[in-house]
Amino acid sequence: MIPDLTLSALENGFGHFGVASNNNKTRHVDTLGVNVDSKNSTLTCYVRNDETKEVLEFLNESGRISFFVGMITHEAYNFKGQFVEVINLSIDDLEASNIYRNKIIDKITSIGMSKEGALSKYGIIPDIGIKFKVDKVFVQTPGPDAGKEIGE
Amino acid sequence: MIKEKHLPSLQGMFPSWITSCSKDGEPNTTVISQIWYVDEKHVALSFQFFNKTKRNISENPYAYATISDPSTLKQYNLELKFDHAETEGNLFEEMDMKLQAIASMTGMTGIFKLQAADVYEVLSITD
Repeated sequence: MIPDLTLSALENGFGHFGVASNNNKTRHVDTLGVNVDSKNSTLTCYVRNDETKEVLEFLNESGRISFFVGMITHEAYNFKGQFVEVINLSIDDLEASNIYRNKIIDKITSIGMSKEGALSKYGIIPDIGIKFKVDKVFVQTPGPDAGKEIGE
Repeated sequence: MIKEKHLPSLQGMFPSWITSCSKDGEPNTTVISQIWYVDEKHVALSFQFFNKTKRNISENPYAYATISDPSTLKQYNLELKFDHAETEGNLFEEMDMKLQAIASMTGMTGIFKLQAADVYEVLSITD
C-alpha cells in the first residue's frame, strides 16, 4: 500500500499532516520525519506535542488523516488513512528524525532562506509519533496525473 | 484581522498549505504557491489544479491554512471560510501574471494555469 516510488519523497520531502473534526473543521501540523512500515502499511509521523493539541483532539474524533509530502522538485504524494495510535519516540526514531531534519535544513538554506529560520522550525526535536494505516495514496505532483490514485 | 506583520507571508516567497474537508469528513492537505492579501478581512487562493480542495470547498466552505514569513519562517495559521470566486478583474489579472512568472521560474510553464481567484473570509489568525 506504500508504493516504492513514494519512498524518496517520504524520506526527503516536506511533510504536512492534516486531520478533520467530527464537524468537518480541519487542522494540520508540519512533520519532522516519518517512519515507513511497508509491511503493515503504516506511517508514523514525528511531530511536536505542543504543536498538535488540536490535531490530536480532531484525530480522536474522526481518525481520518491526509498526509502530504512534497519535494522542491514539485514531486508530491498524499497518503490517506486511519489513525492507529500516538507513540513515544525511540532512540531510532529520534535518530531518523535528526537525519531528516538536517537534510531539510540544508534544502531550505540551499534555496536562499535563512538558516536561523530553518533551525527555528526544523532544529526542534519531535517528542511523539502519530501512527496511521494508509488506505489510499494519490499523486499530487502538478500536472495531468495530479489527484490520480496510485494502484487504481 | 490581517496585520502588517502578516504581509510578508502573503507575497508567495514561500509556499503555503491548506487543509480542507469533504462533506463526508475526509480531510485533504495540499501545498499552494501563494495566499494573496485582498483586504484586512479577506485573502485569495489561486485555483489552478487542486481539484480535490475545490471540490471539498464546494461541499464545506471551511479550511485551515498556514503561511510563512520568508525571512524568519515564522508561521501563521488562518481559519478560512470560502466567500466567492473571481474569474476576471484586477485581482484575477494580478494573480494570473504572478503565477505565470512563478511557472516560468520553476519550469512549470503551461502547467500552472489560473482558473479562478477564490476569495476567503479570514475567521482567525494565530501564531
